[in-house]
Amino acid sequence: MRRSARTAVGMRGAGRAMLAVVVLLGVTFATSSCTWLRQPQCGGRTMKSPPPSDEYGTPDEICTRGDVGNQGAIYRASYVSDADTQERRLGDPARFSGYTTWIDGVTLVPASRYVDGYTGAYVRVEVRIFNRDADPQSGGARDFALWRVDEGFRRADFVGAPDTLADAAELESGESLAGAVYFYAGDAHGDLFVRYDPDAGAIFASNEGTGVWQVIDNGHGLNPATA
Amino acid sequence: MGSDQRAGFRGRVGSCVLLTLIVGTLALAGCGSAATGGSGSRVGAAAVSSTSVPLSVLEVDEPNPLELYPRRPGAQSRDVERRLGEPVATGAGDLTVVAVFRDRSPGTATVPTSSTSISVPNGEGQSPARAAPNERAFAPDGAEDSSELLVVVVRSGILPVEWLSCSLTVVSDGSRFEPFTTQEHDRATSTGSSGEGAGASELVVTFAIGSAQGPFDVSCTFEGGMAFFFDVRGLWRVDA
Repeated sequence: MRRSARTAVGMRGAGRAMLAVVVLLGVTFATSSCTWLRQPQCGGRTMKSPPPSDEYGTPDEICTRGDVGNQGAIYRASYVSDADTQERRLGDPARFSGYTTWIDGVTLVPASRYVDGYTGAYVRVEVRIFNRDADPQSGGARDFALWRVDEGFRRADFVGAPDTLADAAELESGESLAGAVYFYAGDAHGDLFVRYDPDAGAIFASNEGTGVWQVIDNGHGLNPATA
Repeated sequence: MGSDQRAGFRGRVGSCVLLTLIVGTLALAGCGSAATGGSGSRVGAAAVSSTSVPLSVLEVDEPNPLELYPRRPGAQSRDVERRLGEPVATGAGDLTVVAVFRDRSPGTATVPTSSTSISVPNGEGQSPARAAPNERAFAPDGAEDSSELLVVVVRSGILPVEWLSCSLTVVSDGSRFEPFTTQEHDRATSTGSSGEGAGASELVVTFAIGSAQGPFDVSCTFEGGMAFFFDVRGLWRVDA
């Protein structure tokens, strides 16, 4: 009887020790998982710091962290920015939602070149989109809109020009898409801005970011040299 | 998840879930109708009835901007250009302009459609104009004048017409008219047992065009959350 009582006590001790080990392992696993989950992920990997800006648009930029908003830093109250808006000058990229996106140049094109009805001009902007996500993403002209304070937004026009950026194309990881986006702007007076919003309309998008560039300054097309 | 990377989904998860639900529901409905001898369907035409939903309603027409009407103002990449009477497959049934006419007495028009008449009461039951804010900017506004109306009846096969947004563009100068009034009309309540087109709903849109001269381009698309899933815009030329 005494021996079996000791055996029972010993088994209970071993059970408690095993339970303690299991609990300890569980807590360790849960803690590490939570830490891992809290960190931004990219294709199962933790995102890296971005490379120098001259390496944007290269494989070194894939799975790197985006930029934060800079509400009012450049355009003050001229544009309706919010905390997630990345205000940029022409030639400088907006970096969010797995894309790095540039507007490299702006020209005004007479509307009569493409259309019989309209007077005035189209604003033609040269854009470049780089997918720095680990997965494919779609991007194209539909992500851009022209804005003026008294008009609101206008989505991209289709004019049939051969250099037109695709409306929505699938971009593989590390792939770029470049082309021109046209917006009818009539007489194009005042200050005009182009908004980039690749997550517009997405149901479960967690990213509220947008990018914005001023493209027309009081009726004149801006370019990186003059912006 | 950081504020940056993964939102690049662009709502694909949501798209998949919703589309799966829609496809699944329609597929089940289609199977059901087949089992009960449901009507056949031709490609691109949603012969929708209360007892059958053919899978052809899931078809989406390829956009063809400027193909039928070159050099027109206001074209977008998502435009599906059609001649009057021809349907546009939206991925959720067809969209068709079934009637267009001018009217000089606002509020008392009687709209002749293919199989039913709709009386448009004087103000009662009508809705104010529904603008498409992302399309209106920068185009010159048409001079709204209710002395003469252009009445357009648009039929939607599956999606309710309350999600529709239509506008009118004067081809000669690109000026745009938003609806002066709109009124929804459920065909199921007026076609009785004859069946044809039952289940579809119609939107009666009036544009206050005054003395504006055609031709006009009528464009209609689904707005709001539906625009992400069914992002095509039907466009028909009207020589009224």
